[in-house]
Amino acid sequence: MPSLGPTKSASRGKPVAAILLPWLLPACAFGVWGLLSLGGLVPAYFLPPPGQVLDTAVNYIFAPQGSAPYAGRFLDDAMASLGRVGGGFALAVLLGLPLGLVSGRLKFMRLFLDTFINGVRAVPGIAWLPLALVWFGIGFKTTVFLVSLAAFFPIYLGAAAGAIQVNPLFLRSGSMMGLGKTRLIFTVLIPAAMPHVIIGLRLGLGIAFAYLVLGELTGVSGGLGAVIMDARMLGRVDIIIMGILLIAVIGRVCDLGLVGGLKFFKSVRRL
Amino acid sequence: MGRDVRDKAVAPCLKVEGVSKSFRVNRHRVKALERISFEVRTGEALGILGPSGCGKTTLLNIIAGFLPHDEGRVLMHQQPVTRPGPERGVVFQEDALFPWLTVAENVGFGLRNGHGKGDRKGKVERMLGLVGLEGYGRYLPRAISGGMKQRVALARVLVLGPAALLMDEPFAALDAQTRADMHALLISLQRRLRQTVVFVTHDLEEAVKLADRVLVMEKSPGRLRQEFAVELPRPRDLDSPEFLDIKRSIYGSLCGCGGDLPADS
Repeated sequence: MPSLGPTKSASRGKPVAAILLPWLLPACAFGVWGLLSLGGLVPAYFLPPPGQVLDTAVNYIFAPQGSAPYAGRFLDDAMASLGRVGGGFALAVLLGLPLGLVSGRLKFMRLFLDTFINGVRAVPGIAWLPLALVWFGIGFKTTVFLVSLAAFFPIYLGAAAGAIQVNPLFLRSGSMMGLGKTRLIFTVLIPAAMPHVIIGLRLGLGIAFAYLVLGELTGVSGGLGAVIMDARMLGRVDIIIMGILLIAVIGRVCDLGLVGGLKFFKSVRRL
Repeated sequence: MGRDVRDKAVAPCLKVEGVSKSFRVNRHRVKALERISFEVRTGEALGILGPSGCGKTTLLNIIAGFLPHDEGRVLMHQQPVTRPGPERGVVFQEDALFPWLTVAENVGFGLRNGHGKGDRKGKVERMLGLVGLEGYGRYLPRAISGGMKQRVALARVLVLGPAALLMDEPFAALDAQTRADMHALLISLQRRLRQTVVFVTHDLEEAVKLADRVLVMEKSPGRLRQEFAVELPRPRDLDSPEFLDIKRSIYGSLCGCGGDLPADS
């Protein structure tokens, strides 16, 4: 058989550079941080050294609850935050994906939706916060509202861009081979739009975390954003930095999870 | 051998009756097709030949059901054509394979409903063999050449057993050698499957090489000018006097005068 490139890629072992390169920049950031704080260039109440933040994190994550302030709260906070992100993101996908696909394919829907959606999009999320507080009060609903609102736009725009650039010959091919409208959408339109859809979903998830923290800053009881805000009032800079790092880690893991989960679809695996 | 095919088929496979079509371009109505009428008999290969912009692709798109027409009727086995369907398989000029599916999945795509999995797999294998692509089922379209892609495009519609195969300049983007290979493949497939074919081309030699009948179109507005029967046995010798004769008379019709062939063709 010619080795022109069958479905599966042949390369098994990753080269060392591919394993190390992603960690180079984080390592540098830690290095600079260590130099600044341990070298005494920045006082510890501005920027505690990495070791102290690490201790705080270990305590926050592993220590039994109640043994110290913040001890062992990680799991509860992370679950609360992920619930809010998940709820908001799911809502945004449910609305943004179909509306985006429809507006990408049907001109009258594009004319109908685009002005309104892009107008609303121009309003920054923070401007919605007071209104959301009035409407939904402090807590889950406000955060989910902000997260879904923010994540909706990239998901909608990605789906619309994907749908609009689908090769019309693909749709003709599908209908010529006997597909009805619904099957055409799921077996041709969505796979063909997938590259843009993925970008929209990833941007959407990223911004979902940003608005999660905004929503939680309003003083909800649990959650990573709440911990950060809480720590600011107690002057615990180590907790703030730890919270930021944990959000970064969880955000990245969720992004990887999203990309990995999407690999369920052939059209993503074979991108 | 073209003769007995013709005598057997009484009812036409495809009938185009007085089809007209105009487009609106910058507030002007441009007549693309004017009162086109012809029939295609079962098992026949019909070539539609004409200069760029004569509306031959528009005509094929109307027969395929992709475009509505303004006047006239298109009948497939006496049934009016209103939308695309698997009984009129189309091979496009460009590569229109689904890039997220393997070669075998592309070929099996139209078989998704009403076929058992094993049955489907067998059909796909057989069809891949027929177009000379056995062993390439697991490849993605991006990993195979342009000629192989058009073989897959052919296979994915032939596997559905279409009553008519419609082809829109399917070999125009291929190099000369690959094009000749595809011609040979099409001729052998048509003989084996007794496939009715309607193809559109601007290549005079291709039309004479493949078709039982050639319809010559003229442009602005797109109209049928003349019809030529090509009653030569296949595979056809491109240098035989008979072949060159037919080529010359069709060329004359294309130019609108009885001129000679240019030196290079």
